[in-house]
Amino acid sequence: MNTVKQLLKHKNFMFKLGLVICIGWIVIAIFAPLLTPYHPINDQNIVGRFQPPSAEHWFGTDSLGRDVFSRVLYGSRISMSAGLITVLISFGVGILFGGIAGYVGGVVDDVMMRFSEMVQSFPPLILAMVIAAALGPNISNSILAMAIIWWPNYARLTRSIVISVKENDYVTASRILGASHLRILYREILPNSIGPMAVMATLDLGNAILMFSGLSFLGLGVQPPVPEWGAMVSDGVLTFNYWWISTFPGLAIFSVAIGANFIGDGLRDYLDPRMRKRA
Amino acid sequence: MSNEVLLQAQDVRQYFTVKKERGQKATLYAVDGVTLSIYKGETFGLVGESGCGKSTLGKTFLRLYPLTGGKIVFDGKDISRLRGKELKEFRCKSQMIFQDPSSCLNPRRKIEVILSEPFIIHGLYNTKEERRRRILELCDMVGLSSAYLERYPHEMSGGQKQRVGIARALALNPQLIICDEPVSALDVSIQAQVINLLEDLQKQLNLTYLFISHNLSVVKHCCQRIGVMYLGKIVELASAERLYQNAMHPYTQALISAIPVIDDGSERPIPQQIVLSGDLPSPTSPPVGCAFHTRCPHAMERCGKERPTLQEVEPGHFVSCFLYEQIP
Repeated sequence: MNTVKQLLKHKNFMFKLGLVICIGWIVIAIFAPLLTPYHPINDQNIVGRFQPPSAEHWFGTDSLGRDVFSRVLYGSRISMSAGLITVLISFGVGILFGGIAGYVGGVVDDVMMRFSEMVQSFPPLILAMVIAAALGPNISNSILAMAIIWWPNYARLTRSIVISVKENDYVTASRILGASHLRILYREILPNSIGPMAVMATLDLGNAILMFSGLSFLGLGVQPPVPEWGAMVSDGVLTFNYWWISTFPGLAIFSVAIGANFIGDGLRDYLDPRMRKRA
Repeated sequence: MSNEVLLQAQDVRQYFTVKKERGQKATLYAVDGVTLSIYKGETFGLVGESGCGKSTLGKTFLRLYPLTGGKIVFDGKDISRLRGKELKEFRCKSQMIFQDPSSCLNPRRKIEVILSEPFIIHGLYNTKEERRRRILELCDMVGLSSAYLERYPHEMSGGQKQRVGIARALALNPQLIICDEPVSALDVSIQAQVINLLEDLQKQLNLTYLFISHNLSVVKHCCQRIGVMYLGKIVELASAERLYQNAMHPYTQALISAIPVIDDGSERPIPQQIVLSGDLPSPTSPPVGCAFHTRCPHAMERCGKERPTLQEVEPGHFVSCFLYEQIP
């Protein structure tokens, strides 16, 4: 708790801005039904389609006459959770994989790292497309596909941090006291490695949302008529005269990505002892 | 100090495989055939320059690495191949004090949590009150105010952190404590305090120390017997008194002549300083023959071919050098 308080006191304005943006989107995602004037799927009005932004439809209407504002707000539910889940899965798998490789070292490390390099050697978007296409295009398969291509980043970062942290005397001291390997990893190494990884996770949140939107844009993420930002941008591309259809979901993606990056930057500055004022 | 042996090392060897450039592998002979005994209640000093394997030897005695060769007998029991539960039991009997007090404590844990670790690991003092009482007892022993228990390591000075390190090492009531340069990272004024503390604790708890250091004055002050290491081998082993009065091995002579002497205008002659040329050879490719012959002022032809063994030249004084070889 203390750390969180110190973090908030930290003068970084950008960090707070990022926090406001991301928490704002999470609140919107949770309370979407209360905030939207129309239903995102059922309130279709073919007669009133392609309406420009107005007092009635703040972000205009799309090709089926649905309210873009409502769809953007509802879209946050899927986009935000897809990004978060992808990052969380990769984070968990990466920590486990990289932690073991870095801690055990030797042949185990070599084999595990060659495996992660193998995954990384594929072009990410194409591999995700292949996996999503093979499993069938729906939300959970797309998230799975993204997690599969995403975890090696975390594994490699975790490994390199663990290798440097395990050289510390307090790890040796713990071994001399007779602690088990699991206990050493969990009590000594992990708490001292988590910082840079948390930074990477926040920075990645934006990327994951972008990529998921990319998959949806290509028709592999969510299927219409479910509102999702990437899919909505893709909707508007064919009818570019009606700029509002693509622009507003695009701005939503942009805001989350940049908010997450601000948080990540702030976190990194805070964790870097040279940037941190003594408490 | 008694005549009972606490730890006996027989031809202990500790090699590591290191990667060189272009993926080649080389063997690093960190400890190469060390034989010595440490008696109960004594302070055994281990000196030598950086990279000579003295820390590795200390850690080998703690069974931190799988032993390459040789045998370690601790309190009458062969510990060189212990595993699992037996190794965990051995962990209670020998502990270590580290050189760098700032890296020996987990920066994310309060001192109280750090000092509770040994008890949690070994399932001792299971209630919170019992554990608390024992921790306070330890603090008292090492002269640490109980107010520090609520602090994080970065909120303490080096000397205080070192006291925490000592308290942690004492927590399980060990018999042997490996002191790996325990004072070289501290301010001079704190050094004396810590050394006195270690000496007091030794008397109180009947501890045995293996004192690793490159500071010859400190070693002279607190050790009864001293081993001089060079490139993974013991080159000379004697009582502290004899070693300083009558150093025999050319390497020891050079080391001792390097201790600064204050010219106080007295009649005492200032000894000639012996300056060694060259660097410590790489432990991945130690010289053939005597390890020291590349830098030895007295090197003979024989030194480059044969390896001398540790021989007792006077009672309790062992030297590994052909200059003193007794012809039978």
